[in-house]
Amino acid sequence: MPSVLQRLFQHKLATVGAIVLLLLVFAALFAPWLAPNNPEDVHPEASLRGPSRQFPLGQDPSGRCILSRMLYGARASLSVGFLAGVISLGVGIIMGSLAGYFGGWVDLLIMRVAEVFMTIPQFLLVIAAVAIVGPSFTSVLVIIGLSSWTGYARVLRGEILSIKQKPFVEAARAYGSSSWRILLRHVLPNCLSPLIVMVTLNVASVILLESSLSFLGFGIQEPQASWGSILSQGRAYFQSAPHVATFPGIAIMLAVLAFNLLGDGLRDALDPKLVEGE
Amino acid sequence: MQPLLEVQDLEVCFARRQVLRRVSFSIAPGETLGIVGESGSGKSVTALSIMGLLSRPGRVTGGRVLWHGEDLLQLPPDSHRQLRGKAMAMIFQEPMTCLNPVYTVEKQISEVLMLHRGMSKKEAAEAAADYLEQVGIAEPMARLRNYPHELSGGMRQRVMIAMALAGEPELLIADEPTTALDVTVQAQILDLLKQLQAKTGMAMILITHDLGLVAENAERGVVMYAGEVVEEGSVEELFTNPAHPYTQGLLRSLPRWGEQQDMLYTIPGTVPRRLEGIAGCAFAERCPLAEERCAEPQSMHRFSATQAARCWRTKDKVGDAEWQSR
Repeated sequence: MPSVLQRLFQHKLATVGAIVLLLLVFAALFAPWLAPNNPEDVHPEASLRGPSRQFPLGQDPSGRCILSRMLYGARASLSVGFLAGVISLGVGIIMGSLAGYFGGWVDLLIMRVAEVFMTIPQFLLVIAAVAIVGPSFTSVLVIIGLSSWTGYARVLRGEILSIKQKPFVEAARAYGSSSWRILLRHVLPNCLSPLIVMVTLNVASVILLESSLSFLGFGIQEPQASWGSILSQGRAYFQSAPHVATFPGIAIMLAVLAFNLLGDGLRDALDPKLVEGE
Repeated sequence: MQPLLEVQDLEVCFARRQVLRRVSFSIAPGETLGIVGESGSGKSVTALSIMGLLSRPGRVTGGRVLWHGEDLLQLPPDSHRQLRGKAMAMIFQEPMTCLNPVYTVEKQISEVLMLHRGMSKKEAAEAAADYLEQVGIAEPMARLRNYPHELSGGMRQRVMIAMALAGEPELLIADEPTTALDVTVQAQILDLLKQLQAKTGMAMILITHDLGLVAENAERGVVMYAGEVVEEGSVEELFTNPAHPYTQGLLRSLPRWGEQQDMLYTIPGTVPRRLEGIAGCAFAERCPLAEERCAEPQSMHRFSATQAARCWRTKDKVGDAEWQSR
């Protein structure tokens, strides 16, 4: 039987997504070595100049190197994406497990709180919270992380409700496993595949959210670079210097697309109906 | 001798509906007790109550379950849990889905060994192969690395049995252990259980709707109908001289080898949907011998030293002897 990875790489688009992501991660990790210029060096005399040999993707309104800023911006976007993804996954797993496994009033309370979260558009919620706490790398990632756990909790709760009825859970009770042990060792591991798919899709939406925040000036602050803020600076000059807004826009699109392709591929590769082969 | 397990007047309700009443029986160390009855007669609920596995809305509303003389129903849930798997183990009807699909056979057997025998991970992994060998699985080392979906139904049931054995229980409750298996595999599994029982000296409660299995494998039998024990006796007595009309009906319904029969006998009517409102014999409305007094509650009437039935006619025959289960 082919393993999950083998089946994932039979999926052409998912493979493309994975490769693009690897390249982005590579670019972010090695930004200091890959960047042709210091991303914070200002050249007022060369404002908005197009691509040249020394500045391959051109210069922004302050004359800074757009390629270098994008490489450093990849660090910000990807790390916000991953870290906020991890936070929301963690909170979602805890909330979903408590709700689904223990049920009763715990379930009622958690799911009502989740519903309240879901009625408020996430973007507005995040902007409001950032406005209160003050924009910074940490506040953005924590706030995004804490505001997007509801999807995980809901999906996990549903999975747990169905898994905990399975005979093997009763068998585990019959040989004396404690309820925590049953939750952690028997129930949760059987609920993970939909969550893995959700994480990849969620990271994509977090990257988009962070870019939007930075575009509006609520995200990562100057002089630190972010794809959203570069795009925002280029917006005013879109007709005279289209390269400023175009390149970060392409980067955002590629990253989000790659995560979505990978998520789609994972969804197929982790499909229990294909895995069990029964 | 003190019985290993004694169930006294057990009553269970699901929400408001009573599903077990006046269930009493006992089992001695090393003995095999068969519990027979049709679907919904309360066999499995009885087993789950003993194990402390009854889940909402099911609830024990009366009676006692004495384990070495100690009432399990009074134990804090955590103490009862620690007995499960160690003192008493259970195997289920669905071997296909009773193993956790994400772990190898080795991990699952090891878990019991680590939980109840205090073994380290390494010791448990080594002992696991031993147990697979004991339950008659060829190439145990190779099978240890298999996932459940790579095994056949019979193999999975053997793995379940190995896991049950791993806690070295004094009592094994087998709830329809062979219902989901082929007839040939059925025979192998029961042979295996008997053989293991002889080796380890554990007692076994065999729950089944198959009278043949009880006749071949048990020493004593309990017949349940609509949540009640209607008859109890040694296997010889139950099969040659059944006292309760329900047991008699069940035996008449069996096809007999070498006998030309156009139609099999069936007991007319169906099992009552609810016990509320039936104070007396639940079987009365289907019973060919029913009389007026059958509507009154009655206890088990002793028929012989080891046999008793919940029927007035038994009392008529043998008088008012006091019955004490075992």
